[in-house]
Amino acid sequence: MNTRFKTIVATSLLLVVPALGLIDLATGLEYSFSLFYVLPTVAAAWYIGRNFGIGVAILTGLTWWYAESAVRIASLPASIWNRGTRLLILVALAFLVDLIRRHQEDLRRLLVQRDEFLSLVAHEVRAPVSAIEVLAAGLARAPALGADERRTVGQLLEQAHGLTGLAEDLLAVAQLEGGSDHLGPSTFDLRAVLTELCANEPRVDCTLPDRPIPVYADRDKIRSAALNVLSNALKFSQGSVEVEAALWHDGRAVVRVTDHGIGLEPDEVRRLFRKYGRIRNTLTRHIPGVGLGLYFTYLVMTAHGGRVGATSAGRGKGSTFELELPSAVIPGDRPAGITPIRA
Amino acid sequence: MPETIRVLIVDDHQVLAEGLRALIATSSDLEVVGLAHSAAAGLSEAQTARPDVILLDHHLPDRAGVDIIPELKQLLPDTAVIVLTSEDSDDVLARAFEAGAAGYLLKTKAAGQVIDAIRDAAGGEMLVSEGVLSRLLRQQRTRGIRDAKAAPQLTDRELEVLRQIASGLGTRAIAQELGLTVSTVRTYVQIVLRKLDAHSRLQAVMRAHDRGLL
Repeated sequence: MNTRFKTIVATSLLLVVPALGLIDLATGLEYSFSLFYVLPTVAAAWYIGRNFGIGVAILTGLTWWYAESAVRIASLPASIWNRGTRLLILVALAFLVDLIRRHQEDLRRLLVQRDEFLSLVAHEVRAPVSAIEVLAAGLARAPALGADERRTVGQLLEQAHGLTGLAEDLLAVAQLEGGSDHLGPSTFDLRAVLTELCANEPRVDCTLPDRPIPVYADRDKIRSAALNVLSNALKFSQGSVEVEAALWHDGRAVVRVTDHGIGLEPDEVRRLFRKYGRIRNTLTRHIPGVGLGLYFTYLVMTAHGGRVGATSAGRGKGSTFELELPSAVIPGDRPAGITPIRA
Repeated sequence: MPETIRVLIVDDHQVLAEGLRALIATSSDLEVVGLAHSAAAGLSEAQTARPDVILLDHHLPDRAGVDIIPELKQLLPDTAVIVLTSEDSDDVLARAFEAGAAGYLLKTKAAGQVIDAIRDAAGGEMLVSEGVLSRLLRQQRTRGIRDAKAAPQLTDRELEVLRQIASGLGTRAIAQELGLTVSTVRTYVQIVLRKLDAHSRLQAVMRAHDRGLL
């Protein structure tokens, strides 16, 4: 938090507390101001720090006592008791709020350190793992290998590929979390990306409109985002996966991926797009993944001003994922006759 | 494109370099003619082996890989240089493309893409995705970089071909798009490269952009 902001907050609080006392004094006993006396202490401890919080707590306690003593006559012991307990409560509150703030800052710092460490590890392992992958790819193409050796080399290649993929995912997520500077948008037909993705998967049933779906976006990133959703649908289902795309009348380009797999519970839908939000249960335990793919998709879509969402009728009832992007076409210019995929 | 594509690998990561050599050797149309582990060794090896394609690591112990591209292009103007990088850093890529590299290849993608990348580079294609190219051109525009040299006179057809290159299309796709034969497109590409004094399609796109043609 910058110094200028802190100065403004501190000055405001120092003015607010006496002003509060004056208002309390003017309005008399009928009106309760307890909550308002607490707030400046909380704000001071949260935004400025413990010592300033304690200072504001003492100022507030004295103001409160003064405002009250002017309108209500109390015995000396009662007055001292009231003043003392309020002051103690306010000071304790300042300590407590400051403690929570420090814990929150520590947690935030730890999360940043964790992400930095993971990025560093990902960065460092890329070169050796790429070397292993290249060596394994060369071995896999050697003609003299027997069936067993070929299988072993295939497994080696697959594992190395998984590791490079994980390193790439970690770095791609870190890059997107850092801002949208890494996006290279251009205008392209979304159908071309989907056609390419669907062509490689025999289980995918792709329904695309006859007319182009022009979008202005980073083609590579959108391809990766859509691929993540499609791969997920294929990983968590056995049967066919339906991919639909359309340009809606309000100018949004929408891709819908529907599977008939293990489905999602409502609370799982909520955490699906969070970082490391992988759903772990008996049905998913054997499927590899750390929960970065859908988070990456979420980052890509929001960086483009779009959105991603998921719905499911429940466990065992399949899932539907929807990706939405603003279209590159101005709605008024779009030709008529484009059928939306939902009303 | 030559019948056998001669490849030089310049990478200080010896295991990766050996792995690339073994992988490339599995393709009958590719031949690794040299292996170098430093920029100086790469330059000297390039002069003697005269490869068609150079796989050039950016992080070399003596000099940055992209810094020797102009010297390599001066020695071997027809040789395609592919920059091997660990990350698609905009600064490195912009320098590589402006120096005349045919494109770049991420090391993490090398196992699956290096053979096609070498063939494409030898065929004069550029190895860069539309997204990366668009990002670099946008940054170039933001920084306000403009080449002081006057824009060369390009015919409508040449400009059309240039725009197709800039949108990331390869020779075949451009031919299909414009209804021309592949060899006609190659001829137009050569003319565009010559007029823009560029060693690669990527360099041509960067220069055309610099000079306000795109």
